[in-house]
Amino acid sequence: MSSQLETAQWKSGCAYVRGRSHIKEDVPCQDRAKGMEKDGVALIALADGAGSAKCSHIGAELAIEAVSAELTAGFDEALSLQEEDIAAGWLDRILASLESTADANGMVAADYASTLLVVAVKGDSYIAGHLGDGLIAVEREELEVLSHPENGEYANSTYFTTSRDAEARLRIYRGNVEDIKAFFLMSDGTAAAMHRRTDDTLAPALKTISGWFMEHSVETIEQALHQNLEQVIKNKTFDDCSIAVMRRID
Amino acid sequence: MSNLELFDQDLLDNPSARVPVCLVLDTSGSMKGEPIDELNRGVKLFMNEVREDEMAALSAEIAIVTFGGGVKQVVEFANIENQSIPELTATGRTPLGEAVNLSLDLLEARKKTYASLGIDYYQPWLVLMTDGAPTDDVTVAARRTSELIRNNKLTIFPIGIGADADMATLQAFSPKLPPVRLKGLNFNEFFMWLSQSITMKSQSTPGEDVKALPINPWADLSL
Repeated sequence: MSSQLETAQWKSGCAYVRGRSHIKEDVPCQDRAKGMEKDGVALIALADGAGSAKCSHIGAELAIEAVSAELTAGFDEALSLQEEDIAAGWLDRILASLESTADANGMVAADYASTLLVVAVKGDSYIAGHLGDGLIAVEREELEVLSHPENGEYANSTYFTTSRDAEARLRIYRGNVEDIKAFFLMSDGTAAAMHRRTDDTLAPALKTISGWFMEHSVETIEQALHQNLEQVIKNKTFDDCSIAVMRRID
Repeated sequence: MSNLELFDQDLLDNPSARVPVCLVLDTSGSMKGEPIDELNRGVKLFMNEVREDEMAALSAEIAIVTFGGGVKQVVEFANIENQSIPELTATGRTPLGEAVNLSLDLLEARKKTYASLGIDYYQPWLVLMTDGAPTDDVTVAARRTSELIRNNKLTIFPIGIGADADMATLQAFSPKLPPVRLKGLNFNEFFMWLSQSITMKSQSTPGEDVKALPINPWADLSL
């Protein structure tokens, strides 16, 4: 009962749109984002499919599903595990899912490669994970970056679920949600408009979005997120854009 | 939806990721006449094409090093808007090794500048064009490019001009891609291809291999 009440304090909304470069090349949007609540865990997850991987839009969905299942069932246990064991557990489950889908379709797991960003909250605790580029931010009194993008040397290189060193690159964060009002997950396309790399500044627009959750339904917010990605954010980048937001509403 | 709109002033801008491209061009005495004229036309076309493409203009940064008599940097890395098109003249010997060494130093320095300014960048490209054989020792320069290429830190396009181009030397710089001989003096086709390839590269996203465009418009593929 109590967990029901606790998770009811968080409200989530997500959206993803196809970028200008993928429209030009007639490639599907490879970003995916999702919010859910189960077994007392409120969660948002986002994945950006690898540009060259043929089925990465499906891989992004599979990664989100797998990590959501892993986190909702294993949240309490994950609070006491070593970070590397959490990362290994998630990636085992994700790779098993990618491999079985790949096998069934005559593909290989690498055809389903994606990045991964996730935040789950239960009670007073949060667990977050980040593999590759994109950005995780939190709103306390002010906006703060929780997890920065991790690229290779070049702009078009990063780490994916199927990368050899994915386990070591999957960064795990745990903490108390006491002073946190909102979590934001962004793909690198959205981060191009929401985070200035030169001085590590976050855009005031994130606070605006966070404010919407106090006044509007999830449906209205998701419509607005989609529309703003489509009409405003997308003009700042050639990449697909996605965002997932989870706001405390008590 | 009036209060559900985001405005530009509440968003942030980032510099676009750069594609540094260094042209290393043979301007030795043997290029006199039609070859240097055609090369000049090609370079001009290239710089104009990059300038006119929205994405390439924001991303591509071009430097030009020539080797003919001495080695000179005739165009420095900068935004294309601030660059003027050089007029190349042909003279003297062919210090190709020295020119490649200088180009690698310039690319390395440029990457450091990007990093210090928080600007993302793509893997650098080096275009090497010659119509003859080097008159200096290329061992060190060839070793440097080969090592960079094997470590995925450089892409090189080695191009031979005319029948006397020393393709074996060009090959020594390029452990992955074989050198290609230009079809006649089709510099225009080559540089058109190069600017289009840069546009594609500048839009590539993480994990995406930059698909090389077919080289047939400018390459002599006859055996």
